[in-house]
Amino acid sequence: MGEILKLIIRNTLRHKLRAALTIVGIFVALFAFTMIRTMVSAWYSGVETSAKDRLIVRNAVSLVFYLPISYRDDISTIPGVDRVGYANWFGGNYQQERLRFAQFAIDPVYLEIYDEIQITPEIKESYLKNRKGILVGEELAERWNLYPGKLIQLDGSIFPGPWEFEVAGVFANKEKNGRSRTMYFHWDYLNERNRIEKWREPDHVGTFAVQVKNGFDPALVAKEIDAKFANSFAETLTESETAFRRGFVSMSSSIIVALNVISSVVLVIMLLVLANTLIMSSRERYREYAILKSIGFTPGRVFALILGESFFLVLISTAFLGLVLSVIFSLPPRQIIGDLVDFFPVFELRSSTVLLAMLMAVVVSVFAALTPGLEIARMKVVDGLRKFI
Amino acid sequence: MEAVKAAEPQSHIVSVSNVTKSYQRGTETVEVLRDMNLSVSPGEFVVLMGPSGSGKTTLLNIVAGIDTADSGDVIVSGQDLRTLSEAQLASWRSKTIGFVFQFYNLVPVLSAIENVALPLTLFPMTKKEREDRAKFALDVVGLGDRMKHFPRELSGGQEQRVAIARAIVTDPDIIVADEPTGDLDRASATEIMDLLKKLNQEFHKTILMVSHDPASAAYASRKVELDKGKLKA
Repeated sequence: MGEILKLIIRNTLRHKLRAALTIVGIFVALFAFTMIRTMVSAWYSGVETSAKDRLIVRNAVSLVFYLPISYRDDISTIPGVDRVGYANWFGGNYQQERLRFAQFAIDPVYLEIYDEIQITPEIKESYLKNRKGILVGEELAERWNLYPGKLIQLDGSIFPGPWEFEVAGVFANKEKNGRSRTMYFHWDYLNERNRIEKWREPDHVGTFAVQVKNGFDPALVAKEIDAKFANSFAETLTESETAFRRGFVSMSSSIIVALNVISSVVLVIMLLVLANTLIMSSRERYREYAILKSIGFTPGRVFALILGESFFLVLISTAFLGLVLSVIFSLPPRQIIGDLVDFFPVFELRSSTVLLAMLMAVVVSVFAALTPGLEIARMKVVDGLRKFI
Repeated sequence: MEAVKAAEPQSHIVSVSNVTKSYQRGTETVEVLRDMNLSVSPGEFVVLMGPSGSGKTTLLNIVAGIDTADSGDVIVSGQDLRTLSEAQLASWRSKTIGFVFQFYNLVPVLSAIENVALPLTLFPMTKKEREDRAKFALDVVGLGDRMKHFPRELSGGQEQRVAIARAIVTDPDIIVADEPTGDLDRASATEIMDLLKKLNQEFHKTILMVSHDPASAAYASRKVELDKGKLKA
């Protein structure tokens, strides 16, 4: 076995430049595949960390339309509903137009429902006392050097004009999702100015967050909520937090489809690169394979030699990939994808992605070896001996 | 080899009876062997001679089990070759036939000893056993001091000697040699023929050789001449 491995390795590296280019080609393809898959996973990251016992209630027509705040009391009366909070997307810009992060105007109950937002009682008190107070996620605080007491100004887009805020505290986030780059402030603060400016209908909210009591089926509770507001002037659409977030992701479905297509194309390119190398090298060694067959190598054995070369090329590329990925993903996400991190807050390499890339590499190496391997396996010894290349 | 059908015991190590072989060349069918008969006794050194296209290499290939006859019987070392599948033929060749080609055909990325040991990878033996046998074979051909050399570091004659070592390392019954001196100068050719003679006389190997060269043919114990696919009368 050792001698055969030696033969495979030396044959693979016989044309060093060609082997190196092939390895680089496979590496680039695998790297692109891994990064694209990581991006697709990042897209779905918020969906995966959604709580099962939380519902989101929104206007059935569109998220653009709000719901009256009076719905909160009606929702609270529905059996199975534990708590109801609400939130409005703010959409402000901080410092530079392109550097946008999520900002939500929320009521105090919202903080109780989203218990992954971890704040000390002191911070909570400080926040609740300060009308302009804000809570910022750890990553956001670190990124923009936000600390308790710091005054910041946002330029509103949906609610235009300068908005003054004061950092009341920084919260930790126990889930891996974008919340660490989110800012929360008082819905009352927003509503007060909105009542005066009338940018949007006052006393209306974007979404209600509903905490379902233990033992109740969230799906049934959702149905009851929608039934309650059926045929009203603002019908509701209630769905699980998972479905709500998935809906957001599906808005980008064509991009995700495109990414998936690109990742498949990348694999095909890798297949072509590898197959081309194997076909060239096996045809150059036609006579050698004929000699091996003449001295007793069965068709299966010569096929295994070519498959072995294919595996070896992929193995080196994969090892190279592992090395590069381990270096890259030891860096903070912002250093890897720059400001894209604001869109992909959970940009991390998953073991499932690595395994998928490895599996694809193995599959591709087998397919790439098929054409040259079968050609050589089927070759008659006498035909091989007559070849002069 | 269990599935292999053994032929009747016989005194000839090679028995070719009424063999025909033809090739398709475009639309034309070229008859290479016609009703060929040849018998070789164990320990014989037979040279096949004849003009180009007379069928000598085809006959050699059929006897060696790397080509098949269209009709007729081919029994080599007690084995009816028609009954073997391709994989069985490969296994049979590894044990029975040693090949020496005109152009040596060593694997360039392997050293002399690695080339010689290559056929032994098909047998269940330890690395040490393989090395010992390969060293012995190289000693027999007089290249014990060139074991670690790669083919590019050897002369043509030395490469052919390594090829002969590779042919004998599995201790086959028969050595088939197709123009083994065809690519060598006279001195090297003489060395190679001396070596083949030694294998025949000292190690009792049956040798079936194709050659155009009368000087090489002189080493054989029997000369068989072919012409137009038939034995010359």
